[in-house]
Amino acid sequence: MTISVDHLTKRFGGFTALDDISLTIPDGKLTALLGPSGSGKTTLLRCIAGLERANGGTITIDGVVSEAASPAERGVGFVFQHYALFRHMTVAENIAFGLEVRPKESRPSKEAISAKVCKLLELVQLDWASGRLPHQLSGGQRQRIALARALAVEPKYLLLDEPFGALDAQVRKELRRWLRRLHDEVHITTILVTHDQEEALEVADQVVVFNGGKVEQVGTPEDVYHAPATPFVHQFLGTVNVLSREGVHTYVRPHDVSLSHTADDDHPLVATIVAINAAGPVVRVDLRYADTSLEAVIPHAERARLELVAGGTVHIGFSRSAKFDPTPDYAI
Amino acid sequence: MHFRSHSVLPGFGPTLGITVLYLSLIVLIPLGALVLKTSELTWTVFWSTVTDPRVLASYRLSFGAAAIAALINAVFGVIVAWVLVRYRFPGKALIDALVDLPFALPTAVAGIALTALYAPNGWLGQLLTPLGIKVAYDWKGVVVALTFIGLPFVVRTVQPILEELGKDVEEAAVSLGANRWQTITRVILPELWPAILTGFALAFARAVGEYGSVVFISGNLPMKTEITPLLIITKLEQYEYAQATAIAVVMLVVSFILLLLINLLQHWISRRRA
Amino acid sequence: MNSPVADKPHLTEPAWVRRILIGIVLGFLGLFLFLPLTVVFVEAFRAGLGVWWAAVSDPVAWHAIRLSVTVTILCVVLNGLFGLCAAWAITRFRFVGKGFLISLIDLPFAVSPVISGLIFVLLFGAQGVMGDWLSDRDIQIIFALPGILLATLFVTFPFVARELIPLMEAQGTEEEEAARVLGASGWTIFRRITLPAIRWGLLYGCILCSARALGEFGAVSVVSGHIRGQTNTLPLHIEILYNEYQFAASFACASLLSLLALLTLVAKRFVEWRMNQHQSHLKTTP
Repeated sequence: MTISVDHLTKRFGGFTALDDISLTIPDGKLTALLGPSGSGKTTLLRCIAGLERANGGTITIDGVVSEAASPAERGVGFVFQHYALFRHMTVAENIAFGLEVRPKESRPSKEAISAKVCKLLELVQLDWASGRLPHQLSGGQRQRIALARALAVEPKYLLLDEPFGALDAQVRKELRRWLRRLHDEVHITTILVTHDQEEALEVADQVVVFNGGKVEQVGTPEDVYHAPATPFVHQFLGTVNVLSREGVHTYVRPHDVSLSHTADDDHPLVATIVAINAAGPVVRVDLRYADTSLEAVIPHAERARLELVAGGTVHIGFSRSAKFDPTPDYAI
Repeated sequence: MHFRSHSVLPGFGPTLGITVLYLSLIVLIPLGALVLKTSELTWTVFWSTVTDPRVLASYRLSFGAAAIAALINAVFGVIVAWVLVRYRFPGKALIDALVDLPFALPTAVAGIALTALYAPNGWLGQLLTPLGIKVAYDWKGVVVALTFIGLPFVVRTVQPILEELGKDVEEAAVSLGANRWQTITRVILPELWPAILTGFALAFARAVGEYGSVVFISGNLPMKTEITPLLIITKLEQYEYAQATAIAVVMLVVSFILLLLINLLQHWISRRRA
Repeated sequence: MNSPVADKPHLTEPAWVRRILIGIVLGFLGLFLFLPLTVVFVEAFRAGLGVWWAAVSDPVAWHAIRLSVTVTILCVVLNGLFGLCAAWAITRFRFVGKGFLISLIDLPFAVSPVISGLIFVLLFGAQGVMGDWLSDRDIQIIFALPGILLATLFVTFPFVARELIPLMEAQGTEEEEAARVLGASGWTIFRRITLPAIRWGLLYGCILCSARALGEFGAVSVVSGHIRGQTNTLPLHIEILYNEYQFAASFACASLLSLLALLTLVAKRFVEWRMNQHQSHLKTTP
């Protein structure tokens, strides 16, 4: 019972949005499709939902090749970035919509529908809002209603297209934690599209990193963060220092730069301290080594021990780094 | 509370002064003359004038034909707007531009053109006469003329709403299992209702007062095909100023109520869109 | 964007439904717009180009054309200037009663053309409020050019203001305030900042105003007195010819106005296109 994508290609005019993508979505897990805008992640989600038709390749849902299936026949629920709630319907009517448009034979009774709506409103913690119109609710509340509406038809898969993209930073954070808890409760296979790496790393069981219509890496959040497979993943997930030496690019995360008073095997290089910023949970040290600017992040205690001052020099080394051949063009 | 709040831009006094002066000279004082003339009438004269059978018959025709014409325009206007926004076909840009013709074509020209078409020996009249259908010189002719002049209103109020309507709402309906018919009737049409109503009211208001396009095709028979604006002119030509004024006041009150209704509708639309 | 019809079958109707709907639209507009327009030109030229030319170049017709054009130009100028003043006062300042003022400007749209003429007869006519005062001084307003002008001004009163107010409201006052801070005078601000930004909207309002002024029938019919060669505008001239069964001549003059109406539609489309371009240009250069 999975979704598998096989050699999928989608073009819009001259623009290739998906370039021969192959991917399997694990059952019961929350998968994040992560990438910059235009990288193809939303297009893939819309192809899976049947809202977009691919130019080549197949999507298999539960063992059935779903090329001709209509969106409704695929058993997927879709949540849109801008909620797409029906403005003239109350919250309850919105949630009931998917059940009420069913043909008479398979339509639940009125009582069953309203019971279901009540249950879903409780699930998204908005039972007080049932009679309200969407415009009377906040953005975060609207998105929870949109989620309840998608869940009402009991989809086997839940597809979320940048669901928190239109919300304030604070609400975003709360909602993504709430989504994670919800997923732990209902265990529905979920695909979340996002351009926010923090969101993907925090919520997902599996992260798929997209770039230029191709998949760069598939892995757990820890994998993609600590062992990026490509320079792009390295740069897209968090800050990274890039040192270019003898035709090889070395990628180092700021917290993997270690500082020392003395030169030793672990600290072979000498750098100048350009600036120190101690306002925050950690201390950021801007360094200059040869012609390259570097950023190091150290604990406050470490800074006190080393007695760092701007303008001085320090020995540096990398506790973890990755080396890649220079690839001239990737977008970031 | 101050009359106006501070601004660094100059010219408030002169521009507002000119605006109010010009508005008074061209609009308010002349309309005031109507009120003044009405106040010279006694209530019994006023009442017997506006409830005269001939006047009542003209109201029936003017309001009835305007309502039918606005209804025709509401139905076809939605279809025209839908086709212009959603479909592609050759000649679409031309048709889109042609929809405004009734705004641009002088009403007298429309009047003689429609009469030439629907007169018993006209292009359409000679097809309809053998079937026993009389359009020109009949109330149906009034409906035809009023449909013509009200045609752009519904199209032009519905079109922008339809263009703005997000595709995602339709996609949401589809992904929840709605078929095309359910999507249109339950999701799209409810979004269009305020615009359709506004367009209907605008077309109706315009049609009620219309004169030029109707007088040629209607035949102007008292009690049968005489519209209210024509009756006002007839009274004027017979120097029955008081009666003309009384009838005009009734029409004006109805028009202002319509205007108020339209403003409320538009206010409602802009609130829903926000 | 890609075509919405081809690869998103769930967002459109089946092909046969689309064809039927397009057919209905073509039929409806053909019947109500295309056919009346065609019949004007066919009837106008039915008797030949000579008859057409004779009708159009007839001295009485020629006088009616001149009168119509004069009234139209005066209307566009006066209502245009008024529109600019009203839009400036309403959109650049906040004051008590603004909403009410906007409603009053819209008022003439709600008034039947016949009543628009009637009110001037009641004011300036022989039995009118000012009738005795005017006849004592031998001033003729009704059944003369001033009456025709006033009635047309009333009917076309809101066109320019109505176009400019939302446009200038949307544009905001930031640029003008910046110019003011830099020391520009009021007139300079208007000429260098405001006018360039609203010129297409102004033109659009003027086009609508002139189309209505040129074709106005009901209001003018009440105040003109139908004096041939003196107070007959072109639409009134068409009516008289028609009622005298001079159909060819009547349609000849009508074809002239129809041609102008078509030109109006073209000009209107062009200005709409320019306004869209102007707007998208403003969006891309923040």
